[in-house]
Amino acid sequence: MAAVVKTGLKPIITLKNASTGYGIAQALWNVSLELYPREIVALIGSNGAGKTTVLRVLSGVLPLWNGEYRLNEEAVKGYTAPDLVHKGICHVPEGRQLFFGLSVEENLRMGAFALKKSRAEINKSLEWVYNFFPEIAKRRNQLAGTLSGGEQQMVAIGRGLMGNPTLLLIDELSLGLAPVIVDRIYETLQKIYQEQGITILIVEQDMELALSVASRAYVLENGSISVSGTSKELMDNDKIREAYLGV
Amino acid sequence: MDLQVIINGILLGGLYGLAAVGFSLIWGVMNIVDLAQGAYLTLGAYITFWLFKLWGIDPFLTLPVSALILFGLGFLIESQIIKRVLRYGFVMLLVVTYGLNLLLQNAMLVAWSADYRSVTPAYSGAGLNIGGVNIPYIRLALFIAALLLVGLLTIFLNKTRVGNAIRATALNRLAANLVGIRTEFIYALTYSLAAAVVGMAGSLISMVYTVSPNLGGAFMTKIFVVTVLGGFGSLPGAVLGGLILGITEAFTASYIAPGLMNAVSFILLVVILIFRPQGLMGKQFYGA
Repeated sequence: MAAVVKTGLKPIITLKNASTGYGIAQALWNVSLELYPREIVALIGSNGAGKTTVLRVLSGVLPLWNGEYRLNEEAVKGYTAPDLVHKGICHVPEGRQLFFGLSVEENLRMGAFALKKSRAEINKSLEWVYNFFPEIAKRRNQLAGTLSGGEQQMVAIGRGLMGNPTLLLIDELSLGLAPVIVDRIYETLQKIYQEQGITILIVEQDMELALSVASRAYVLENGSISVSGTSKELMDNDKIREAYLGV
Repeated sequence: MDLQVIINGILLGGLYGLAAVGFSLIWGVMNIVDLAQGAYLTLGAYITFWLFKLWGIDPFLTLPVSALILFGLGFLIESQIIKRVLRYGFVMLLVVTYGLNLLLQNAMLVAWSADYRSVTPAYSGAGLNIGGVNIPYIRLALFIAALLLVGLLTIFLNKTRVGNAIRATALNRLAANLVGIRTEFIYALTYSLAAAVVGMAGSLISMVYTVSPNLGGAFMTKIFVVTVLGGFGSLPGAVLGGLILGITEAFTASYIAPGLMNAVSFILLVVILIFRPQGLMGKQFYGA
């Protein structure tokens, strides 16, 4: 495995030999990965490979059976999802999981729940998010359940950003969205990344898209990481090209 | 139309509405049909009865005591029992809350016997007479108190940080967790709050009904009808459902037969469900 170590930087997230699952069904075997400050990393793999499970571990929704999870070199043990939100990890979940009965703006405001900020500060964050996604600014008073898929994804990402994350986890960003919308959202993500210097981990089935956005990637196969490296290395890897790109 | 019958129904309906909001809240937020609500109501009624009987405390002043005791009991029951059963799903919770109801009801039977008791403050007989329509002061006061309590709860849910967290948890528990809401605590809080509210309803009800361990059982049927009529999870719906049930009962008792009150209420329920299965105001809480 080609580990990419950025000199002088300490990882914000370390998973070491992590195993977990649901009930008695094991889903991850000895997964190790590291995330550094200021990078976009992709987690790639086919359906059922365990991508979503990795995100659930990182956001504290699913506890580990075995192995280590460290956040800024400190062991994460007994933390629940709300604890980790308070520590700056925001998870944009699969299927977006918006509060359908609340308006767009109420959804975004809920994203800042953990921060205990003043109303004025929250309003400032709101304008900041609307600036990135003017599409949803127009619909701020509309119920979230009435939006199109692309707009819902923007609200979901916006809600994650409202939590002022140092690490943003985004699950299946492109699932069910038109390519033009997907491009539009990835462009904005890159803008946010450059402006904020946060770390973003994206889960993506579309390998080519993922590698064009991320600087590094991990490939999951049957609950284990099979390959990892820089996007360029993976693009040049014949086996990967054959398995995921069909060329 | 007999104005007196409508007034009677409305005054009664306010109490039904208050009695149902806790049940409705638990159903809406936690997806639990809490059959123990009847026992909490009875307990609230007994708390008022004993404070009145032993120390002569005005029944209206016993409301905070009922609320506090039932909040504590609710918290204990949620954190020690309900929480552990949650992951086994809806049917198991139905069985557990049914069992809790029996347990509490029988405990009250052992402790205080099956005797019918009543709370009779000095002002319980007086009333207002406007153009031949008689309005007992106490019923009017109960109605106002009930609406006031539902109003306060509504403001709490819509305007406060904790209230927002409860609503968000109701809409999507996973998403609530992911924005940093401690939903386990929200569940305990919602359950305790609901127990406190139905306890206060019991305190109010003790002033116009006789108190016995069976009081809550009789009210459970009404709570169920009111909640489904109004739409579960909706507080305004519970009030509306309460008023409709109150008026329906008053009319049935006056013009058909008192014994058919429950039958007519359930027929009304079925008819409304056929045309509006989500209840009259069921969408408000859940949105799209």
